[in-house]
Amino acid sequence: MSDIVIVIFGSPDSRSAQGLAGAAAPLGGASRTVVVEGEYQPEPVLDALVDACRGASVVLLANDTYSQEVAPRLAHRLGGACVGDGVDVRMVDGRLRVTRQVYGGKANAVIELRRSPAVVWLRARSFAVAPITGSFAVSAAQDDRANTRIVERKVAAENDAKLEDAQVIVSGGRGIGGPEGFRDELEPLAKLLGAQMAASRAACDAGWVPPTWQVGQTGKKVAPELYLAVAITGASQHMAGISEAKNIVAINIDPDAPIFKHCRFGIVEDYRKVVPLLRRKLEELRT
Amino acid sequence: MNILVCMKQILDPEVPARDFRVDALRKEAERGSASLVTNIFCENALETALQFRERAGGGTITALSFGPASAEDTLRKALAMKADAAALVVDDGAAKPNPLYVARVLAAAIRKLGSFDLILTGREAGDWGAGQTGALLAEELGLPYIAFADSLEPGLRIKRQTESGWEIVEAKPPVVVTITNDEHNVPRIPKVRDVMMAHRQPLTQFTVAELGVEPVDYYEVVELAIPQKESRCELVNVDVLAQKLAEMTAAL
Amino acid sequence: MSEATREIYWNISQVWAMYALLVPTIAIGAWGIWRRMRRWRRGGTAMRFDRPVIRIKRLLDYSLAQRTNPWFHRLLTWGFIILTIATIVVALDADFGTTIMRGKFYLYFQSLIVDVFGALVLVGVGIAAARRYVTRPAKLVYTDEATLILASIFVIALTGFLVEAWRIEATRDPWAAWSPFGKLLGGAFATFMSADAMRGAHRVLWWLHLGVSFAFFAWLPFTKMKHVVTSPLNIYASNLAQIGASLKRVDFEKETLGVSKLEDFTWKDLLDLDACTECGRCTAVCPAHAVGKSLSPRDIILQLRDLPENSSVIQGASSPEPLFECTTCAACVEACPVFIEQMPKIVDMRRHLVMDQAEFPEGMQAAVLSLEKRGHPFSGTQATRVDWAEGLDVQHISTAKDAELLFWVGCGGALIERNQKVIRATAQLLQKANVKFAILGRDEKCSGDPARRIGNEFLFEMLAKENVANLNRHRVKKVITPCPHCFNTFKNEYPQYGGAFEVQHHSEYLQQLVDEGRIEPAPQSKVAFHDPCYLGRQNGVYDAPRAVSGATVEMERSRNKSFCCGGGGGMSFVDEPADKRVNQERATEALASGADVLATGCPFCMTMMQDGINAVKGTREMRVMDLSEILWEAQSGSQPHA
Repeated sequence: MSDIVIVIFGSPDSRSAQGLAGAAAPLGGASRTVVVEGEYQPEPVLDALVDACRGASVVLLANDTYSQEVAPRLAHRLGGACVGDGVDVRMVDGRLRVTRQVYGGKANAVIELRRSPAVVWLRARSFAVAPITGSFAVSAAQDDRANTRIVERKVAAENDAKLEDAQVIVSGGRGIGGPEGFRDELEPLAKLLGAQMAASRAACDAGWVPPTWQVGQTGKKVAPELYLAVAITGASQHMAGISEAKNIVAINIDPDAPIFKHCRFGIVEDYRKVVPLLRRKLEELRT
Repeated sequence: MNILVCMKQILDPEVPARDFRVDALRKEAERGSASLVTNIFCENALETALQFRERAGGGTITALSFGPASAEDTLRKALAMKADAAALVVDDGAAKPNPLYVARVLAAAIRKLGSFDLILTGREAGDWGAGQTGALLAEELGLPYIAFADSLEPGLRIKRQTESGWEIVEAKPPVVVTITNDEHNVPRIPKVRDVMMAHRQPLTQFTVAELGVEPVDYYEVVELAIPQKESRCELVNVDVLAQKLAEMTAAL
Repeated sequence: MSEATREIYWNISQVWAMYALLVPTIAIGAWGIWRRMRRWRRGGTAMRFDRPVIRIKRLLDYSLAQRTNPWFHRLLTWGFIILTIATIVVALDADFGTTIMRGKFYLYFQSLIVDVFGALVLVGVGIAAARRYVTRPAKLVYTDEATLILASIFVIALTGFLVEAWRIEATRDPWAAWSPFGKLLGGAFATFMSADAMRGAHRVLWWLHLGVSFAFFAWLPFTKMKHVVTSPLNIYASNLAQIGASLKRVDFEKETLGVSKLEDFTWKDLLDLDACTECGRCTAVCPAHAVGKSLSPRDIILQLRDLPENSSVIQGASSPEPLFECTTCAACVEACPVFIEQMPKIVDMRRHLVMDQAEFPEGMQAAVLSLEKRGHPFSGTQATRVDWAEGLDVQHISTAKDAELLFWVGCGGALIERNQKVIRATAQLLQKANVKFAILGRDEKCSGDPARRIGNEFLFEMLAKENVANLNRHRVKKVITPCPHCFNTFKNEYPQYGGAFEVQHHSEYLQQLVDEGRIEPAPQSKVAFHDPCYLGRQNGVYDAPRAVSGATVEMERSRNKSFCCGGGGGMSFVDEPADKRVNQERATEALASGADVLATGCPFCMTMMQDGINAVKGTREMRVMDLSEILWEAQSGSQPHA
């Protein structure tokens, strides 16, 4: 009988926590849910989780910063194996198989974990929700002997709500040309649509928008109902972050941009021309 | 401060999807006509190390790679960017690398190379994207670990990204840190003069056998396939698009 | 009547004073020339004295006949030459006992021609002054020096006339009719001046004329007027090859790569600086300047000219920002009346910034990185090198043993989707004409042009050597390419790396096929051809692309005066500010031409012009097509690529 443990940083009521429960359901359901309470500190939390997960055959985590930080180490300390960014989990002959994107989203791999426990972090929001049961809290005791210590935490003012939970996302790429385009064109549009703002890696690397906005293989993996990609060409690394989006709509000046191979609706035109018209039209429709 | 940066040579992540093929038997990407390049996050890591050295006013930087003989190119580039030394563990192909095996090989090489205060890796590689090397390396070396850092300040203050913002971590070396990208650690372009010099610099080489690392079971890729999904895009005008957007968002 | 002549020092005493004044004049002038020559000699080597016959012809065309100069300047030059010869004749007769100034020579040359050209110099000065002080074109440099030069020439010419006029009147010169303007002027003075008064005034003005002339000659090497010597020298030593062949190789053993200090230039580059006449034509035609960017080739040349020895050249007009705005279109080089090579100097300085400093624009960095990693400059392309050939039976060189030529596609053709249609059209035309051709496919790498123009000569050499070796291994003899940048590199640069291929731009080859009747010609229609800089101005191919595309419309600026699309020199990889885009300026001109189709023959021009037209067309429609696409559509039974 497999002993499945869910590890949650933050609230057990969150979408991602329920997604983990959903992921565990087909495997037989979680036997324990460990909720890490208190201020996260890497070393004490890891120690606490090693204790809490001992004896488990599967440990499921979400794809937040802390989960990704502890998961491989937790596997190592428990003598298990780890894999991350899973979008599907299955048990085959007593071994856990995890499906994930590799090669920047150009391929899908099914990976079988050969050690126990199997410690896996998942794109938790990609899984159907299930109720959390049997949760108990661990609190990481402060450890003054630890050689690392988080001394400052800053939540970026923009985009307080989680991008990963957003239903509608307006996202801009390199073609936006600068922070003004995001501020003057995309933000008003996002307001109209009740959308969260996001960006491609190129726009984040250029410093136009904060790195927390980055969507893609190495940014956030999002799963909105509507993803409006403005001036984003749609390289596979970017598409890897929106593979779970229900509807992709693209505005791009380049008719040959790969994004048009992935979207439902598109406009080939300079966004500077389209977006103002679009805003006006949306306002009209609203009244 | 002595810094070691782990660097991986990978198949060019920008190889167009149409040129991308997988070998279903060997469960890996076909090389095809694609180039081998340095993983971008490893370059971000090296850049972060170089900036740290500049801020600290001194220190050494060693680049370490585990890979085929061609990974020498990655290390030469690191030397051109002004790493002080470079070492290559040549992969003899005896074992199919998995994250634990790679971490053990790197750990063994690091022990051989000396003692380091800071060990940096990229957050993940653009091929398999496992994102585990740094964490497992920390465990193998028995060191603390911080993920997703984007800059390092002397006195060892590590700034790292979280999904909602950032955190400052104070650390006592030695520590293993993985580096992610941000606007400040875009890898510098080496000077051509330094590129030329880098080709004359010595390169330490080990074999896996010399390091005494045995193959280890961790995980196995059982399926590798290219997803088939191309949707037809309907090109519309602004009026229609506004209508569609309104419809799609109305229910939410 | 005795033989025609005049008394040389009439009315002048104490001639020794003239010789006394001549000593400092020569000393100061010689010192002025010597210090510039010393500067040139500190530069590096350059071979510029081969083929003297061609050089002399060029000298006659451009220095003497002044083919590219406005009339007023010809008047000044010719007047200057004739009056100088006349002065030398006087000196010979006075000091060396010759008797040249006699008879017919005296009448025709020394009197009539000198008199007429003296007057023409005054006309020239008048036009020059009107231009400088009334119409005031922006390209000129408005300095006190220029004003003083113009004033000096005016004073010298005017005093010369007055001296002549008073002498004619006072001596009742029997040959006065041979000096019509002098006689006229003398007659005018005679109405209110006595002979004695004229005699007195003559003496004063003679010395003034002499004094101003001597001072002018002594001062000349310190001003832009030194161009009377340096420009002919520079024209003689000019680059005889096509502009496309004007970049120098780099010695990688040297301490500095590229040019960081004045002395890193060649002697010829330094001579260039002193040959500058400040006419400003280079800046007037510069596309970057035209759209309001900071680049001004004229200001770069003038700044370099005025820098003290051992100065760093990377500053002011040649700071990184303007240097990396250059599209290497070479309009400046083409426009320069004295054959200064502005563009190669810009590349020289870029080389230093790129190779020694690694300081250059982000977009160009990305292109260089991609060239290093992938052998093409487009990071993030989703296309592959052989996508365009889908469904066409195109052979790789290794399997096409009987191929008569290699079709070099180029990265811009293979990897930019819009251009893949161009490549298809060209390949289909070749197939229609039963030309046996092959491609390198995935083995093709960038020719190296963008690397070289951006300033990374090291990367260029690597790519060049690799390509040449690859082509030689396949025993390629003949190459055709639809990319003028590849064309230029193959034609002008690969021979230095052992690549002796016969290369043709596809326009030239397609024209041959049309002429031979192997494919149908395109009908004449309202097509305007946009000359790619590396095809036209830099390699002199103008007619074939027009013929192939059936072009009947010319844009305002065309052929060697064509205006760049904005994409050369690595600029197509840089995000230009939205209000300073070269392609939009050119697109506006294209729309104004009234043509229905804008034809081009370059993958970079194609994308730049398509973007430009899209941005400025408003409600107008204008197709942008490659000449091969136009020709393909003209073939009966062809399917246009929608």
